[in-house]
Amino acid sequence: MALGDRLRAARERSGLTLMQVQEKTGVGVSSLSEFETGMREPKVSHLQKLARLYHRSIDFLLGEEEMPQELVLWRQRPASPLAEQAESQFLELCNWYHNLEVWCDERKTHCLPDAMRPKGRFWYTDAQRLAHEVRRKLELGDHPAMSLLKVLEEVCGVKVFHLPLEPSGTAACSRSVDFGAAILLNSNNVRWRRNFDLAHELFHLLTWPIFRTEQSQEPDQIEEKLATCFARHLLMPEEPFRDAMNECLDGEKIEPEDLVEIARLFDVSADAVAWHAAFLFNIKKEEDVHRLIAGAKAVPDVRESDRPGQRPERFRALAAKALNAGEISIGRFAEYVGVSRGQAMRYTEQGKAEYETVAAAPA
Amino acid sequence: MKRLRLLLLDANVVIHLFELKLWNAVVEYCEVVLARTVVEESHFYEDEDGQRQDFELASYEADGRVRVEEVGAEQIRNLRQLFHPGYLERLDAGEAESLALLMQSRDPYLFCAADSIVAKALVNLQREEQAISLEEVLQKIGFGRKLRYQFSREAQQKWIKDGHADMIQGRGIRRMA
Repeated sequence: MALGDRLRAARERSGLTLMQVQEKTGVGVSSLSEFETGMREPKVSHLQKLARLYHRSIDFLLGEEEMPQELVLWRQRPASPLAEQAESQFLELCNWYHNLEVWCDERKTHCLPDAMRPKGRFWYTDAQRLAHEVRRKLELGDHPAMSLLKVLEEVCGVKVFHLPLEPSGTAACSRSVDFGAAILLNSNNVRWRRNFDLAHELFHLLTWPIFRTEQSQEPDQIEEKLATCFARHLLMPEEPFRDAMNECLDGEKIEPEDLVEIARLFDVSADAVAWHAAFLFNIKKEEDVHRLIAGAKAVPDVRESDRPGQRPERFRALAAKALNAGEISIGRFAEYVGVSRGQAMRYTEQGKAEYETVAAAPA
Repeated sequence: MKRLRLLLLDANVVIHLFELKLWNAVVEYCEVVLARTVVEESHFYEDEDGQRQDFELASYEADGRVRVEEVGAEQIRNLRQLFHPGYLERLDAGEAESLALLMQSRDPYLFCAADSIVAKALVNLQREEQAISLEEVLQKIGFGRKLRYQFSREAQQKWIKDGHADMIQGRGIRRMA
């Protein structure tokens, strides 16, 4: 694929018009057009500006193979062009993470187990069964939210990033031959909602070979409901959930305060608890569930959320290792980790990057 | 009379020279050449208090105290094809452009980068004699002093040795069949 075609494809994938690129880079529309049509060759300084804006490397733009198939599945896709820009940034981070793993020779050998394809249509009982299997295989215990993120990252090699996304409630995932499985969460969301999004996106990753066909690139409503079912059953496994509910209820009916307490215990939202309780305890009337949820909103939630960094801890640790081993330049390290060159240079004081300092650096 | 000719500097070095307040001295005593992307990557340093201190290079270029060169996509592509796939991704754009400038010219550029991967790349390109540490640059122009490790002659020598080890292991440069 010629450079001009790749530049145009990269621009379109990031949802930008030529005018917008001019505004953001200072490179004129006529020059951009000439670069894309192959009438003029860009200088490296042009390529650098465009690479930064499109979230692609210069190395990628100079590649000759066809643009890779990149599919990002969204839970509540933001409006264009925010979605395209978030996707570009997400995929860039995934590729950087992959590069670091290769350069440090630390590609994860453990993979996510793909869901078994049932004989008939994949249905809710299959989603429940899958949740049970995953909890067991990953040894998540009775309160999976406490360890799910860490296990997915450190054991399964899933690349999990947090970016500020609007509107709230959005999350996404992607799978690739190169970087493997990856999840994007909204850092603006509170932790307990992110836990649910994480489990929801995990479903899509596990069932990727089943649902991603030529005809079905985007999940439909049923698949989304299956993902929600999976997430509920993964994060609130039946037996521990019933035990917790019984302890709260003590023979009485469910009250909003009980929902909030169970939500805290399983580190999910009160809404999720309400719908899960409705399923397990056979609450037939939807208005009862809505009443409970409305009531729970009035109960103070004592939890404090955190603000996760954009780069995962392991990512930053790999970057420090690559820098120490001379596998990456200081400038590239600074870009990958999101610090200034000056800070990056100070990390290499005395010839050794301080892992703890890099790992603790605001990402 | 310039004591060092054709001194190609990377952004790390430019920034550090401003930190040391030695930029003007180097420009006065050396024929400094910068890749265009290095100019665009070098805007500020952080002082001892962590405060950002901006600087500009445009005036140095405008009045000829510094020469700025740039290469096109084709030259970078040529450089890229010398290495294994993805190798250039380890370098930033300024380093890649500087290496491309060095490779396309018969002039005896000296490249001061203070970066391990750059020294290793130079060894792979069989241009290690064109690598120079900032410590050596400052000594040659009479401003010798103790510098942070990455700018030292010792670091440079270690990285060149690492580059030889890489070559033996077949890392970096593609070998012709």
